[in-house]
Amino acid sequence: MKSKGFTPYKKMFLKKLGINKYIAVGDLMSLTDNGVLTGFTLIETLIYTALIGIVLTGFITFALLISGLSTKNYVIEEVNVNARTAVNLISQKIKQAKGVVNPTQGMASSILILQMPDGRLLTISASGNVLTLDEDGSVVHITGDEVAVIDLNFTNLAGADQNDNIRITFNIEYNNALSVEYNYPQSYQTAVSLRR
Amino acid sequence: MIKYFKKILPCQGQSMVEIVVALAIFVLIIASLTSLILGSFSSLERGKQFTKAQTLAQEGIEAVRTIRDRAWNELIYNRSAVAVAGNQWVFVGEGTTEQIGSYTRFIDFLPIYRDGNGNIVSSTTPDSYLDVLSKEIIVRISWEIRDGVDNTIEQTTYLTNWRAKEWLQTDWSAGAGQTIWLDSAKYDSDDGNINNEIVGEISLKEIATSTYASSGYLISSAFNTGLLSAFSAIAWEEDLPPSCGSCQIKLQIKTAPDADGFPGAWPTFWAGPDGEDGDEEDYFTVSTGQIIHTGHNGDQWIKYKVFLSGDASSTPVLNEVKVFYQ
Repeated sequence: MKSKGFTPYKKMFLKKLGINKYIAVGDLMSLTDNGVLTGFTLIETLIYTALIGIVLTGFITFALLISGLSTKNYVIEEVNVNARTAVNLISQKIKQAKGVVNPTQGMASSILILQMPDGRLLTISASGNVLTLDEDGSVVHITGDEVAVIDLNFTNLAGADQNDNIRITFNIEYNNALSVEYNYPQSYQTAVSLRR
Repeated sequence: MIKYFKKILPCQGQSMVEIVVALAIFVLIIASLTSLILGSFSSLERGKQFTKAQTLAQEGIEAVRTIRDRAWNELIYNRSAVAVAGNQWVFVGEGTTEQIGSYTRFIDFLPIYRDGNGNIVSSTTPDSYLDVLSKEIIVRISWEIRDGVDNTIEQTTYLTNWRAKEWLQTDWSAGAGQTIWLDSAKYDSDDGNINNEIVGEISLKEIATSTYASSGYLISSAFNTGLLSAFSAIAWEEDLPPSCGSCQIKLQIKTAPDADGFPGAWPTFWAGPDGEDGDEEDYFTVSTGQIIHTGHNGDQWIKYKVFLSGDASSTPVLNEVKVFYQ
């Protein structure tokens, strides 16, 4: 092997020690205090391999964790946004309504039919687990396809000859509940009175 | 010799310090990223909690609003939970709260004071009066976010009994003898100590020059509200001479159901704010208004009995009586 940077004196000294072949400093060889030239032992190799394995495992685990949390964050956000939108929109429509056609006072139903000030009927229901708003055949989806609205219930809690008060209860969850990241069922309840 | 070896083969590569520093930087980056993601996760959870809390707060306010629409005189509590009974919202009772999952709902009712212009003012404002037909409603939702640490949201609204109808009598000058309300200037009867000769007021009769009867009473005609009613409050306008410490005006009422366009059976006793409790010891004494007991709700007819008392040298004056009903 060719060495670079060794002075002739150093080369001669190594030769005296019986070292005819040597490598440059920084390669896989070192010289101990006793003048013994050594390389990586099996144990060292195993330790290095183990260390690299541990670090790689840490990286992969961390990446998976980040990915899982990111998915969970997305799921929570989707469920929250859809729930908030559903509550706000239903509340707004009830407040605007002139009357409640269904459910009648003291009754409960999964379908809310409101009579709007312009005389049109507005139907709110969960069709195929998607909350929909049907105004004279014009259907608008309130919640997205990624979430499922289940157990939607409207109860009219007003007494006879009183302003209708609709209690709204529903459960909402992410549609793809295959793994734990997607499993995020939530339940909501509120009530809204007509403003007449 | 070692010195020579070190000169010949100087050790190069990463020192322990470099490795430790590199690891520390790596751990810091990992910790920051983890903290960032967990923080985002936590924020979304908080967002969900706030959304749920807001829906529950809205439910509380709307429940109170519905009860207000049914009968204002049910809003008599300082704090009460709401519940559904018989497919209607009802108050649970004084001091109660409601546990809904991990959320606790508090509904508080605060009195409203107004000045002479009708503006809402502090109770300590001079000449302010309690408006019995208004309430401040505070709904508070509280939940535990970690051991010993609670989060709270609060929604406040003002409710008034703006739907209330009013039976108003401002004149008694047409005299007694009218059992059923028809002529707004007439009344049912008095004890002979009431002076109704001046339009727009009644007072104690002057029995000698500058000497008045010490007390007297008047019973109104019976008023038909036209439907089953919740009687909210009674109020009146009075003029009490400042020099007359014993001058007072106080009222009691009777209510009855309808019987084919006429009053049904009247109760035996006149009632004050305690309702029909079997005695006549309590009176409405606050002219700016007092809530009528819920025990009268569901009746359709009402009449009042007004008592005037003085010190013989001066007399209280009654100008009008108002009964609010829904």
